[in-house]
Amino acid sequence: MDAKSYNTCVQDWADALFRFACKSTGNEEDARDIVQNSFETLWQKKENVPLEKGKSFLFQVAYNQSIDLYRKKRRVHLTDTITSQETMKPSNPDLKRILERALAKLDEQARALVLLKDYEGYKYDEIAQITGLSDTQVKVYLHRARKTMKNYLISVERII
Amino acid sequence: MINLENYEEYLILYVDDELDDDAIKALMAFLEQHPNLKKELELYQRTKLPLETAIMLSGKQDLQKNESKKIAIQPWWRYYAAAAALLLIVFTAYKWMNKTTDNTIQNELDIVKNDTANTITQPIINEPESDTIPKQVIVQNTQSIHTKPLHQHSTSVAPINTSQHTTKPTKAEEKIQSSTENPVPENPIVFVKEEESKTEEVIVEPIKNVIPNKPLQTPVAKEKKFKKGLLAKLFINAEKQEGLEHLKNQVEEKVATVKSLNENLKNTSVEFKIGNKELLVLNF
Repeated sequence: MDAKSYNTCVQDWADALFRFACKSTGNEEDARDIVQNSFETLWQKKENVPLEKGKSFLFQVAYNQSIDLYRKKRRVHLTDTITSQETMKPSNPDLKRILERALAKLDEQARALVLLKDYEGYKYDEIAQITGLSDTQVKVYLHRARKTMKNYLISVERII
Repeated sequence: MINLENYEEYLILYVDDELDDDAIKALMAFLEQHPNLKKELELYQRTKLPLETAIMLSGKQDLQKNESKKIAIQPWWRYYAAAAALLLIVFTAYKWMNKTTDNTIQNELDIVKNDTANTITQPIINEPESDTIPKQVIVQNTQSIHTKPLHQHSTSVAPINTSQHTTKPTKAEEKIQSSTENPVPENPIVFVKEEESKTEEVIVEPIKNVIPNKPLQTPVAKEKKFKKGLLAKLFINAEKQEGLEHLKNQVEEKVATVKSLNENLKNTSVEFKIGNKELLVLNF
């Protein structure tokens, strides 16, 4: 990968990476740091990373940094600090917030898996390569996360 | 085979888009048989996060790098270049110093050769018409040699193997040394014979035959021995000893000549007769 390819990765994946880091950490400043560190790491190792592997490399670095950050802080709050505009479905105006709260119920690892699956559309095997987990582990962790979020949705709707 | 025990797993796989076409058909068929499970499928579908494309990173152009093709020299290349330059300088200086030393040694050796050649070729024994002039010549030669101190040639000369030059002086050499220690030799052996040759021609001829056209070089041998003793203390490179060996050989020849002369003297006798009557017989 040369400098031109690196800049292409910045154009294509900087926003997605930032989105992932925001949802994973729940903090915009931490997300910016993660994104900057991820691209810096890619620049340093660009000679060994082909262009087609650039995206997975970036998300792998971002995932590891978010996990490390979670372990340092031991607590993640999905707050309303994301100041950018967000689109909302008219039929379910509160669904997004409910999902955010449901996502916050998950641990850092499960949350990252759900984000990689839903935001970036990675397959189980691709998520396994990024996170360093096995295919079976990815499947089991995602299933647990889905069940947890479904149960939370049921509990909220019952309350509502 | 989808059943009531594993249907939930298939529902999640369907939501995650991990089922192939055959598995999807089977799941749909199972849900048709169990319509109450369709609501559960909808709940799992609602857990899928919607893509928030509105969240964008501001200032991402700051993450981009310059695409100019400048090749940065790695720091370690600089170290190698500096080391190579230093080695080249040291090698050049070493070669220059060796060349200068060789030239100096060669010049000094030439000077030594010229000095010894001049002392060898200079006639020490003149015509026997006057007995004082040869004495003066010898003295002058001796002084001319000694006025050139040998330490002037000892600046850059390698040490010489002193064992080759330290020889115990023979009796003839000792006589020569003792005869030349005085500023003016009292009775040089040469001149005694020359004087007697005027009156006793028979006696002188053997001496002349012994030394045909060769000037006696007793002072020179002494001077060479003196010089050889000093040379032994000089630092002369082994490669430069050829000239010294030549000098040594010549000195040895002269010493042998003197020795033979001494032997002849032993077998020489002088007789004074008046008529047939012997007055005096001198045996040497």
